[in-house]
Amino acid sequence: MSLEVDVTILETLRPPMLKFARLHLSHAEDAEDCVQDTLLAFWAKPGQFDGRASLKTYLFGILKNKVADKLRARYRDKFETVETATDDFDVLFTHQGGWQADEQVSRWAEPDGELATRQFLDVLDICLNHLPEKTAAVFSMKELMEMDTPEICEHLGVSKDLYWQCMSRARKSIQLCMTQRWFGGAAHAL
Amino acid sequence: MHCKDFVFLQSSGQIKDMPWGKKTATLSHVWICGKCRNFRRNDELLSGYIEQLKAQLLADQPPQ
Repeated sequence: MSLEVDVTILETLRPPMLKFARLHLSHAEDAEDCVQDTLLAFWAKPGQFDGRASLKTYLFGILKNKVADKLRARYRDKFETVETATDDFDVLFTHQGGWQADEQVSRWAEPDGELATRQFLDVLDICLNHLPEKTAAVFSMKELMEMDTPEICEHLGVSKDLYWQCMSRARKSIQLCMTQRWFGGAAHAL
Repeated sequence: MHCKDFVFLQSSGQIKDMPWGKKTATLSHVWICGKCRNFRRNDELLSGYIEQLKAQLLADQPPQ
């Protein structure tokens, strides 16, 4: 079964697709390419869309594969110089591995109400977009594209140890960024 | 277990896949360290909001 798809519907889906792609890809042109390739792939075989899923779900499924391919092409086997060589979080700990005495690791208060939650998510979006490129690639694949660990390691040509480092760095960086941008913390305070 | 080790295990997502005994030993660290307890709680909160962000992105309806 094939369905008629209105071109204007595809146009309205373009902005959220671009936003999704930008969340994963540091380079704007890569995101544009992925969205373009997704739409081209759809038009090449429109009959494959059988209407069982929504058009949006169907297109995002294609887009995820395009994004994964783009991440693979850009970063595969290039993790030897990953940004994990130094870790901003190291300064938070003593040489013995305990927290520095003056580090205040505050318990976050949850945003209160719908508006505050939306603003919180906007700041989170900013923090995600500030992750170092390679770290962001690993984080995106795991948390946003829901790929499993062996698949990510294979896709990007990274060891499991390096994968853990990237994930740790990403989550620590986001926590630091949110503390600074949302909770008004000091430069190194959590 | 040092705080730095715990923070690495927590933030890299390894704790949830640990065998029961090792997981219990690792999590016992947060019973004695308030800073790591707060870090873990913030990290878990972060996971929830990342899920929300992802859901929001996929649920955004195009303008009519």
